[in-house]
Amino acid sequence: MITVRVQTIGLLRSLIKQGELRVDLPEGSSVGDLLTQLAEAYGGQVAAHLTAPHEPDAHPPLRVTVNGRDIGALHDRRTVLADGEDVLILTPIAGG
Amino acid sequence: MYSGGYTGKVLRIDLTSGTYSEEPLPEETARDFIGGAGFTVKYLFDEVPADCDPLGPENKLIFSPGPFTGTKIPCASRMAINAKSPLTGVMGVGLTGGHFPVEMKRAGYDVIIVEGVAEKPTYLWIKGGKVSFRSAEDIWGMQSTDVQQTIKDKLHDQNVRISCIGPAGEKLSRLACIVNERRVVGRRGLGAVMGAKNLKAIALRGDQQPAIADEEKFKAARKRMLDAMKESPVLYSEFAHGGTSGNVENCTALGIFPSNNWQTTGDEKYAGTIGGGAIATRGAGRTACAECPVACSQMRLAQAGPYAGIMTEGPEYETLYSFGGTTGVTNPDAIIAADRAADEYGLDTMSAGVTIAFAMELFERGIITLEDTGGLDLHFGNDRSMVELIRLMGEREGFGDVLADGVRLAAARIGKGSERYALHVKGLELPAYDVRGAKAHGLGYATSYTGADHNKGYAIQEIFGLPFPYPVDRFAIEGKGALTMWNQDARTAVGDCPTMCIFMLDTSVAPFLFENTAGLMRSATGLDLTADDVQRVGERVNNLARVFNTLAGLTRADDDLPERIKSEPIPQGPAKGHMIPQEDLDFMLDEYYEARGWTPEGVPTRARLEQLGMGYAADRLGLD
Repeated sequence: MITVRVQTIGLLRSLIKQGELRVDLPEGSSVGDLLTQLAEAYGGQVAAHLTAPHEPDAHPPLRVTVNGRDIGALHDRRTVLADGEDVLILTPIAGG
Repeated sequence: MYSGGYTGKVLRIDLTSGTYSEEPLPEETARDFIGGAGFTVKYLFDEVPADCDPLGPENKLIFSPGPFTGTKIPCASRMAINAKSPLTGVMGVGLTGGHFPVEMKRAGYDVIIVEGVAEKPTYLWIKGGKVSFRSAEDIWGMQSTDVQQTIKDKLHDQNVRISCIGPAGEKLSRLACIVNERRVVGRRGLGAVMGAKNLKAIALRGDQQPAIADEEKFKAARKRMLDAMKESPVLYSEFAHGGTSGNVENCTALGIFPSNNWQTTGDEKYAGTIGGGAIATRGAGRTACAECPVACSQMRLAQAGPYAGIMTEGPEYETLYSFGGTTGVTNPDAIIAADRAADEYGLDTMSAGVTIAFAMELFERGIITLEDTGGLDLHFGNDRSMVELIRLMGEREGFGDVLADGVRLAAARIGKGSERYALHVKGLELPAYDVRGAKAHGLGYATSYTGADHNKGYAIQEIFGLPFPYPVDRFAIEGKGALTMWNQDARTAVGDCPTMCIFMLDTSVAPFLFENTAGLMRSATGLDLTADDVQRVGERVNNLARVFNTLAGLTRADDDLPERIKSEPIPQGPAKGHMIPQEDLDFMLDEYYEARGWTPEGVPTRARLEQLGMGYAADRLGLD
């Protein structure tokens, strides 16, 4: 098993009602596996957000980083997680 | 010829002679530059000597909304203002929302050019095709809210829209902004240009409605954009209710929210103390720019202590950084009070806060003392000293006079090695993203034609994780040259020229940015622009501005970053250990210049300028 630290902010944080989680996963699990496990654990709106389809030419419903890097620059949801890694999940916001 | 969107008229006002005239907006200018920032860059390039004194009579103030401003297209109620900047010495384009831009179109103008210097303090009253030059001697010295209310009372019309300066502009602070209601063109000291012209305010009123070239196609283009706004995963659900303040949490989570003059970036305490959630506890309603269904602008009311009862529109993300993180202030009520005070004095909240943070670091290092500050304790986090310094800067009193022109000039006045702690590019103080953890965003700061400007080449891929035109690794330097060019041209072409709200574009229209603008242009104006043509407008504006800046004396050496960014790694958090050493900056600059088709020294070439239809710019540079 591996354990990853999951941080959520924005809408997801308010739905989960917890800013930071420790999640146990089988060795070799990917970001996709993590999102599926979280969706099953929380259900409802959280599941809807985590499993929303991502059309290639549409605004992405979710942003995920692993150790600060966007998974789009890694292997998307197939990115394999290692023990102790930090995962950030949020809706992609704007403004500055 | 265009048959909609534009009014077709340019208003030229000469303050020296007290005269004015109208001239047509050329079709070629409309097609090549779209409007807003594009128009102001073109007119400034054509009419203002690049080597002129920004506070002298040769400089001009140029106002321009976009072709959709005043139509039924939402989120287009913005305008650009440009002049040669007294803060940076180069192009000074800034944008603002609010209601003045729509009123300017309703008054009948695509562009207003203000020239010369008035003999005495003056305000302009524009209505029905006539310009009245009125004495501002009795409102000289007033703060921005009082100026606007007094002019409305004088004109017996509470619906007049006004752009004005506060005391900081009158006193030629290079951090002075131009205020319309509670919105500002904040950066680069354009308020000082207005003050140097003895111009306190421009008031206007209109009743015209821009024509639409093809109503049916216009409805379809508008509907596509409105549908994208509805489908956005964030625009109405999150952004409308918190505005930009939630970016504190976002950037803290990425480890790039700067604090204590960028010494302690990565500190997590700011998300909980001054982030979107914390500042929302001071919520007092929402407000909107003209024709905006989102209403992201938040009214906030200070609750406690000496600031209780002070209300402001904002503070936005950048101000939560400048009067919060980088000054080490964690009291949201103090930030509200500081935001309001800066707006009233007419000071840019961003540059003012970063300049105060600079002074705080000097104080903690012993480079300046209580004797220098007039007794003000400037330890990081001292919010009372921060608010008092805003007053002193706005009035140019005491130590405020040393700081009133930003960090570059303050460091020159103070000496003692203080330049090392002055965080700016080309004289413009750094915005709220620690670019050591977002490299393309950093290259954007280094190469923007306006100095360290987050909005001229915003790296949406690194800050928001948007995968357009493709996803990137924010810590990598490879490929960031071409990406930064794309970001700058996109921001210019779809945001700054059509003067559309970038918040809406980022949250909703990012997947079809160029086509969105092209579709609106074809239907509203009748100009047959493709998506590629729109992108080319962005490239054209960035090249023309670069030529002006080169003529003003800018070289590759000015495309730089502060020493702290190049030699001190981020000390903690998710971006710990990252920085942009000189060799990495050089690598990215080489890539960037090559992508732009410029020389390795960063000078545009005749070949590229002619490809963009601007052989005249190559002639001005004296290129073979």
